[in-house]
Amino acid sequence: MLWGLLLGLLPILIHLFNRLRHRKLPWAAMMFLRMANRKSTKYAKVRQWLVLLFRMLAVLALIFALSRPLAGGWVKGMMSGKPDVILILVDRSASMGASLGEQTRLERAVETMVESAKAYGDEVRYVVLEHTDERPREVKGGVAALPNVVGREVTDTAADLPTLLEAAADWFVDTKPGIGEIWVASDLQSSNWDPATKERWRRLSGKIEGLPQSVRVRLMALDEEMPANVSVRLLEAARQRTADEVELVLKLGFTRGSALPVELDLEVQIEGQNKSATVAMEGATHEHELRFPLQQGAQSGWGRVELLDQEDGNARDNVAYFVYGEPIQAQTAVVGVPDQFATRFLNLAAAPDPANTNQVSNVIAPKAVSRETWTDYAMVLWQAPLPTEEEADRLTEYAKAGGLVVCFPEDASDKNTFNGLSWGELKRFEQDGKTFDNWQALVAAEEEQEHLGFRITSYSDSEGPLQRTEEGLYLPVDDLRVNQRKAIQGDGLVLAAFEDGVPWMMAKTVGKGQVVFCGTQPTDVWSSATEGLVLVPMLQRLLAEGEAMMSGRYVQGHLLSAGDDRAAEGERWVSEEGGENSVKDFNLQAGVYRMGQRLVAVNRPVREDALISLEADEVKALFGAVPVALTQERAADGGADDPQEIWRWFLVVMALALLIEGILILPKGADERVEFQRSATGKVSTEQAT
Amino acid sequence: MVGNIVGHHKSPFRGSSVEFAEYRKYVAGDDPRLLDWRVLARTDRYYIREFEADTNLRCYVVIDCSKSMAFGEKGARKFDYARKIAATLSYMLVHQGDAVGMEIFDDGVAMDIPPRRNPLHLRYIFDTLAGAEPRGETGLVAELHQFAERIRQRAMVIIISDCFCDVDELLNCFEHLHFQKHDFALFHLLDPLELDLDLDRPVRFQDMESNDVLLAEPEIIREQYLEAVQEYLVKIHEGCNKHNADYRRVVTDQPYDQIIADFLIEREQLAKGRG
Repeated sequence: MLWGLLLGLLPILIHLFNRLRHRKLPWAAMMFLRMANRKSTKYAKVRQWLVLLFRMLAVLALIFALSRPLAGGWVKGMMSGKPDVILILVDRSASMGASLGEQTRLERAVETMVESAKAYGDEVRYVVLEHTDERPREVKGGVAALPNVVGREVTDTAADLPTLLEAAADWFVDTKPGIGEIWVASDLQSSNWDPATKERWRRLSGKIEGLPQSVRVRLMALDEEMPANVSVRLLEAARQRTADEVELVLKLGFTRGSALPVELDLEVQIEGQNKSATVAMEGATHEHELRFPLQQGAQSGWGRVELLDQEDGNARDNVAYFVYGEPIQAQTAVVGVPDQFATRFLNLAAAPDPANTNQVSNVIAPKAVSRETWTDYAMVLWQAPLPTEEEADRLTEYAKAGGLVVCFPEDASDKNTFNGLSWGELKRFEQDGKTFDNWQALVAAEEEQEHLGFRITSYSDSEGPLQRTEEGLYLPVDDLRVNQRKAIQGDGLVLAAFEDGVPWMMAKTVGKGQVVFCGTQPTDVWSSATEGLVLVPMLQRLLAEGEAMMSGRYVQGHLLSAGDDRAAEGERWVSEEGGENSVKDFNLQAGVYRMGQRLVAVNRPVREDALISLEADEVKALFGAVPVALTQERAADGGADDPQEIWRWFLVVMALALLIEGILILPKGADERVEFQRSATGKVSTEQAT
Repeated sequence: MVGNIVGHHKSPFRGSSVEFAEYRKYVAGDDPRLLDWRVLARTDRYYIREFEADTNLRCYVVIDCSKSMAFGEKGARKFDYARKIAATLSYMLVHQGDAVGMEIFDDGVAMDIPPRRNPLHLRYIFDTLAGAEPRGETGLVAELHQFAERIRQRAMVIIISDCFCDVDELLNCFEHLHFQKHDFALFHLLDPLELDLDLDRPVRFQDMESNDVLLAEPEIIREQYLEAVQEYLVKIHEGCNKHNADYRRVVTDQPYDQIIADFLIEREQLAKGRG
């Protein structure tokens, strides 16, 4: 728009150009011209510049009018224009279920937005974008249809406002509508706005500001104080077997706004039976452990904990769901040639204790992998050429869903790449030009205090698969004799590296799962990993991690969160609850869901219970230069700070400028004078003259 | 009597014809021969007895032939217009027995034709008019002074000019002519464009007489221009009235025959009123 202001110079340029294209004219009455030129030096020149000034003003006013600027404050009071499209962003997160009188925050937000939309009428296009699916929905039928399109059901999810705004900006980029407004109704919950990601907000505000059309934001802040609220969260649910009975241990977390001691009444439903409990809560947060005896035969089951408090500010965070049961079987798939030593070794390392029926390992020939359903496995050990094409895709999908894939190198060269990681060339240890057949030969050739072979010197002993044991003992990684290795190429987290910096083990996060590359094969020719002192615990730890990722829904940190853990394509999760809760959306609502033999508990995301709210000005600051109007009360008549279009006033200015310019260039009674000049004749008689 | 022969016109001056006109008091400078001795003897007062004189007309047509007269919008030059007026008046005057002379001047006298009443004289006048072309600067003021001095005998002087010169000096000439008791008329020729300056875009005006150049925007200076023209025209008109001159403002888009007809009719009415 600023470049358009240069057009304001147009009248001056035309004036100068006009002066340049003068014509030549032989003239007789020069005496009058000279006189006129002398007289016109003052007023006429001032008038000339005034005319130019008003012409410039008219052009500038037209440019401003075309750019349809916004104004707030007193300027806005004059007149407002309508946007072409209003994009309504709906935050249906759990915190929007807080009650404001007889309504929830979400109901209030929807009502406010519908009322505000009525002020604009049906000439404006309405599009609704909800945080639950980020899919724009056009409202057909104008304002009247708006309440039917905007969902009023609060979900148990957490809203990600930056993502939602990015989707809104993308929509403006894709559909290229005219002037737009983005309406956001939110309780300003800090975790939803994620103000810490400043770079992301900077990019986002820049994107909105850089849109070719004028887009401003109207923020409806629903941050009124709600009645005292207590939320309950499941931290851990465990089925424990004692000497003579089986009991369920529930570890619960409570959060509330006040630190005053209070007694909380709980109703715990376990397998359809209701049990009562009372928890004495001290402080704003509190953790409490409850134990309930289970029937001996109850291997698994589910239940819910509910806070009984009629005065609670948000009923949505009063429920926590849990499932319990025996640990599920951890299956490992070892993909490799069945007869090979490495395959057999890995198979044994994945399930070393035949007595532990919870750990099972299957060997799958590379040719048979297409028939496997990877989601049945907690871990896949890949001792074969790296997968390609469809198999790579399937395995990647498995990893994204939380699976763990550990790849070991082959003797032969392998040029394939899997999720950005690939194998380098095989390199055998040499000393003085001499190579060794296996790691035993290395040891045999060693002299005292000597360590032949590639030495692993860098690894973390505090976390990861090579961490110390529970007793604090180090894994003998330093003692590994590596006779030959393949470098790991690609970007990932180096878990262990050789002395020369070449990674021995590298992990790469893929979706919710991981792909791990290990640079040596468990054979004697390659390394002393066949001893098992490093490799077996390492694989067991990776298996535990994979198991947790795939099925560890009983421990804190791996509980499913509504909205965050979405059902994969093709998965059909059915609510286990009966009655009115029998039909629930796995992606949006907390509850207990079953798919086949899998039983999962879905709860609110942890961050949704954090009740910290931002100030409205803090949220406005996140938008940078994007104009944001704040509406904290009901905004049927538009908020006091709403930016309003003032382009009509620029048209008025333009008209006035043209009018004044017209008056200035109006000839001053010249016609009458000329008529008089043409009619001057006659002679006065001698008598009259004397 | 103004002329040497008796003409058709009642002379505006008192003469020696038989028709008594009036008595008037003697003033110094009057011819003592005109004193009415009988009145002097009877009343001891000095009176002069005047008689009406019938006279023929000696008319001089004075044409401005300076370069400025070549101006004319769409080819209608002021000088061409002046030629038409001069030729028409000459023809009419000669054919009613009056003597017509002509003086054409630019910055000096270009052509001086003494007055003759011979019809063959007309051919000479017409040829002279046809051969004249505007050139040089205006010497109107100087030439009119010289003319007033040179022509001692009372005559009718018809001046055809655009009068683009100093107005005060021009009015001095008129005073001079009036002092010499010449009856004179001024056909003040103006082009319509000179009157209204109806030009839109900037113009580089080039003085036709001095070749001076002036770049101006007519839209800006029009008002002042019109004021200057207005002031000038009023001053000339008033000056002519003061010196008993017949002022004819002629815009060159008017039909010249109408101009001449109006001139003749008004003069006739004036003569009757005086009679």
